[in-house]
Parts: sequence; C-alpha cells; structure tokens
Amino acid sequence: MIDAVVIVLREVLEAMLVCCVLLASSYALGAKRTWLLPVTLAAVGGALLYATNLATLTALFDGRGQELTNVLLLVLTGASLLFYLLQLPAMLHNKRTLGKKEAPVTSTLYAVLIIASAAAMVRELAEIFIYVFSYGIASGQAVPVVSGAVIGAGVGVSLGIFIFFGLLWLGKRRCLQMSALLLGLISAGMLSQATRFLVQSGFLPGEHILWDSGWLISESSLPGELLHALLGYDATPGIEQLTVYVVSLAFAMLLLRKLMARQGTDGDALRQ
Amino acid sequence: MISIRWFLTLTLIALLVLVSFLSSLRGYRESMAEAETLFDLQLLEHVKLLGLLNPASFLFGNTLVIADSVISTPAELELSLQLLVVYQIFDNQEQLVIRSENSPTQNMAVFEPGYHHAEFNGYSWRALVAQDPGDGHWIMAAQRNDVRYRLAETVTLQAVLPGVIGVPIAGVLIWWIVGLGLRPIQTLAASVRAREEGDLKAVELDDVPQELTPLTLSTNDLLTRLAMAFDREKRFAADAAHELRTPISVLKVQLHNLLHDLNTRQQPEPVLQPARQSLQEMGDGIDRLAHLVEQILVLNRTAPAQYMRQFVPVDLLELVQHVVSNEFDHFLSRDQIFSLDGLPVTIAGDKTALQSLVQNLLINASKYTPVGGQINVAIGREANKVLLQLEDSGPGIPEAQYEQVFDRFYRLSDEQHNIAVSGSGLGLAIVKHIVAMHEAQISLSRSLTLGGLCVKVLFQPYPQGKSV
Repeated sequence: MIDAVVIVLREVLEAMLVCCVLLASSYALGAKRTWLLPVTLAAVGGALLYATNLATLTALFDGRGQELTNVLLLVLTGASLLFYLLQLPAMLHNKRTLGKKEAPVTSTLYAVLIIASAAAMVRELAEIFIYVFSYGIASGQAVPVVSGAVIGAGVGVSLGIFIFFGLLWLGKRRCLQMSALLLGLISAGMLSQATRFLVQSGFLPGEHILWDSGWLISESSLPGELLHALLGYDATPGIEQLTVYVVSLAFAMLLLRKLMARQGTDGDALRQ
Repeated sequence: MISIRWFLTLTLIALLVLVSFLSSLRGYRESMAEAETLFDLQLLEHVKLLGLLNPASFLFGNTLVIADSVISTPAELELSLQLLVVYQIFDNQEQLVIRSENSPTQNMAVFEPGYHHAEFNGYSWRALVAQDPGDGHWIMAAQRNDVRYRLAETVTLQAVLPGVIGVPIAGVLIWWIVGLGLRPIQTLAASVRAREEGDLKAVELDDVPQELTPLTLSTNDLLTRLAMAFDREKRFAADAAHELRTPISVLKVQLHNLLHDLNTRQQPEPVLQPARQSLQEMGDGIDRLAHLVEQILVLNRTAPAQYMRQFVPVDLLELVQHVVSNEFDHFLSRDQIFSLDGLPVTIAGDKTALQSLVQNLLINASKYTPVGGQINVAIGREANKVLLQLEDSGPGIPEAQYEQVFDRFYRLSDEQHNIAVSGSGLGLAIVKHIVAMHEAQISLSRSLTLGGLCVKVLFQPYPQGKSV
C-alpha cells in the first residue's frame, strides 16, 4: 500500500502543481475558472486511451514509443508553461492600455492553459492507471493498491488545493510573481526530464552522469518526490539534462524579471 | 473573488484528507511493524513447542491432515496452509533429524541462533534458528514473508479503509453544513432583493447572526437616509406644485379683471390693442405655467412608488372616447383628421390615471402632427394582451431617442420638432409612470401607415371569470 501511496502521490502532485499554479495565476489575471473541469474530464479520457493502448504505443519506433510519447507530453507541458510566462507581461500591458478592471484574457492564453494542464494530466493520470491496473487489479492486490492510490491522490489533491489558496492569499501581484517562479521551475524540470527520457531511449548520447546525490536525498523518498515534482530533482543527472534545465530556468527567470519590471512601471497594475 | 462556500468546503475537505490520510499512513506503518512482531512471536512459540518434543521418538507427521480434521471451510484451510510454519530439527552434529513436509532437505538458514532471511521453494522466508542449551540440537522454523505481509496488510487495511471511505461522506456533509452556515447571508440578500421598488423599510434584525448584524445595521441606516431623501424630494415637488396653484389662480383672476377693465375703458381701439395683445400673451403664459404645475402634480401622484393603486375594471374604448370628446377642440383647431377603431375591451386599471395617460398621448400626437395631418387610434388584442395604439403623420422621433423621451423635462429639439410647441416635457414621463403602475409595456416605433410616430401600449387583460 505504501508503494501505491508514494507512486500515486508523486504523479498527482506533479499534475496538481501544474494545474493549481496555472489556475491561481490565470485567476489573478482575471481569467475564468470554467476551463479546468472539461480539461480534467478530457484528460481522464485521454489517459485511459493512453493506458489501454500502451502496448501499441510501446511497439512504435522500435519499442521506444512510450518514451517518445512521454517526451512529447513533457515538452508540450514545459513549452506551454514557458509560452504562458512569455504572454504574462503583454497581458499586464493590455490591461494598462485598455484601462479595464480585469486584463482581457485572450483565447491564445486559454489555449496555452488548456494544453499545458491537459498534457500534464494525461501523462500523470496514464501512469497512475497503468500502475493501479498492472500492480493492483491484474495481480490480485486490488484493495491495498487502490486504497493506497486513493490516499496518495487525496493527499496530492489536498496539497494542490492549499497551494492554490495559498497563492491567492498572497494577493494578485505577489500571486502572479510567485506562480511565475513556480511555473518556471516546473517547466525547467519537465524539459530536463524530457531530455533524460531522450537519453534513456538512445536518441541523445549521454553516458556521462554528473553526480549521484541519492545518498543525500533519495528520489523515492517523500522529500525526493516533492523536489522531483517541484524542481525536477534527479539524483543522477546527465550533462544534457543539466544544460536544458539551466537554460530553460534562465529563460523563465528572465521572463519573471520582465513581468516584475512591468508590474513595477505600472502604477496600479494588479496591486492589492 | 472565490465564493466563501467553495473556499471553506475545499480547504476543510483538504485539511480533513491530509490529517486523516496521513494519520492512516502512520497507523498503517505502526500496525505493520506490530504485526511483524506478532508473527515473530508466533515463530518463537513454534520453536519453543518443538523444543519440548523428544526428537528421537517423533516421526514425520502430516500437518495438513491434522488441520483438515479441525478446519472445515476451504478458505480457512487455504489460510492455514499459507500460515503453515515449516520446521527442521538437526542434532548437535548438524545432521537433519526431522523436518516438516514442505521444508527443504538442506538447512533453511545458517546455524546461528536468531531471526534470519531465507530463500527456498521459490519464496522468501522469515526463519528463526534456536539451539537447545542441553544437548545442542538445532531447531529451525520459518514462515513465508509474502504471506506474513499480506496477512498483516489485510488486518491493517480493515482499520485504514473506513477512514478512506468516510472522507467522501464527510466531504458531502461539509459542503452541506457550510451551505447551512452561510444560509443567513443568502436569506438576507434574498430579503433585500425581493423588496418592491420604493420599499425602503429597515431589514428585520430577527434571526440575523451576530457576524451579519453590523452589515445589517449599516444597511438599515443607509436605507433610512435614502428613504428620508426620497421623501424630501417627493414632498418638495408636490408641495411646490400645490403651493403654486393658488397664486396662479389669483393671477388668472387678476388678468381677467384687467382685461375686463381694459374693455370697458373709453379709449380708441389703436391705443387699447397693444395692451390687449400683451395681456393675451400673458394669459397664454399663465396657462402654460398652470399646465406645467398640474403635470408635476400628476407625475408625483402617479409615481409607482407612492401611488395607492385602486384598480377597477375599465372599458378602454369608452375611456378613450371620453378623453377624445374632451380634447376634440385640439384636433379641430389644427384641422387634423382623427379616427378611432376598436371593440370594447376591459382592463384592470385606475380610471383617472388611464385618462391622464390617453390624454397625454393624444395631446402629444396632436401637438407634433402638422396642421391637416392625421391621427389614428386603435384598440384591440395582441397575443393575449390589450393593445392601445396611436399613430400620427408627424415627424416621429429618431430611434436613438426612444429611451430618452420618457425622461422628465426631456424635449426633442431638432428642425422637425418646433421648439415653440408648448409643453412641459413631463407628458411622456407621466405616461411611463402610469404604464409601470399598470404593469403594462410601452414601445415606440415608426408608423408604417402614417409615417410618423407609432405608440403601442400593451395592457394585461382583465382576468376572466371576474365580474365586470
């Protein structure tokens, strides 16, 4: 049961982080929240489709289909998050020039929100479905695995709810800054994870492992899981992984700086 | 802003889930460790029991047969089979003396007293090794690790599961209770919202929870000040209009006397004519003033917020005929063609107010229709309602101003609407009040037949079954 709790918690926490931070950030911009429910339902459907067709997917590209699907979903999430961060300063600018009470949230922004959260949810939910089915239901361990999954999911969703309200509690201005910081960290983590998958499946050369910090924080421990979800923590990163991480994080921080500069020049923009 | 209900429900459920699930996990770990100790103790008991036996006189026994004679159900038998402790007894030369049926022929664990991990028969085992302090023979007993784990988990889960299942139920209850707690806010909002226009009475403070009392008190304070302000405004207009009536009447009488005096003077006509002209114009001015004052009074009286409605069945056709006969001089003086079509229809309404409505609409039509123009009035039914329609061949009203013409003192001022046409600018405002009072609808459009303005008023029909 503990294994189920840890695995499901990790997956749910990753998806919840993306969704809740995006939700809080877009809410601070004045976007509606109605997009989340249909996206969640669609993602559940998509994840089921992914999980049930796993064999077909895996067989693609000389048996590297699953890794490539994961890479695709990770890059999709990471890139949409960076694109969202890129849009933020422009949103504040629109708000100032149009002088409206709430920033006019464009359909592009909604599309980015939907793509990022849907891709994150499909990947994590599919992993949960596969785990619960193969280790639980198919191997006669339904009760402990399903209860573990429920506990893990419950804890993950609850943490997500607290992250969402915690960000809102900061006030609109700080909420935007903090969520931009978190989204930057998450997207860098996702892109570096995608690099790791590419290395693992042999698309990128990468034998050189920089360090092994498994003795300090094991990836399968609870702090390790949290750090993995938030920062993309990897105990044994390769040079390519680290490069991608540093570059995308630097880009995200540049965007955050731009956002803060825009907030600074705008006398009353989202100041609360 | 996120609704209080959502905030409270979500955070409370999240808190409940975190606390209960994390404590369940903690309990699970503790129980598993405890179960492990119990199973170890069970192994120890076996070893102690085996130590009591005399190995020399003991033969191979079939434990399954023994179990069979005690246990009846297949499920329990299966459990007993899984729980089965396998054992081996070696002499002090480490030679196997006795072993249970499903134990290996080799020693299960190393010859070293204590608990050990063992692998045989394709499973992993927990083994206990003990040496008799007397003759030095070895006793080994082992249990399958997976069975121990599964059994411990089955027992522990029984304690964890109710907590997991209970959370959704608690979630629904939290949603309901939070809703219940917030109901006074909704009730308060509903009671404020449900008020009729002009009802500025204080909100009742009964049943208002402590937290909402300051809000209710300040709302009541605001309502009181608003009611006083409204009252002052109404009283001022009504009092002013009422007080103006007397001096106007005095002016009229004096003017009449002056004219009479002038006519009886023995002076040549060219001398008197300019004075008489001036007095005539003065008289017109006083008439307009009197009309304005009357209209202001009517406007105040028919304001829906303060009019005491006295609805009776009214035959609309008869009422229109009555008003037309009173105002026919208007049409005659402007040489206008007037027509009235319709059948008798009854509506529920206030007779005086309805007369004022028809009169204002008719006079407006006559005023803005050029000399020799045409005015049509029709009364009929339209979609279960009673229709009063007035059309004229005047210039009409630009569509953009349809809303504004109902405002008080709003005057149309363009080339087609002669600014010199006398009027108070209150006629249509009065009409609007009377329409609202009767819960009727008024709409303006361009007349398709005459080209001027078309005014449609749709009244509720008089409820059938009531005696007229």
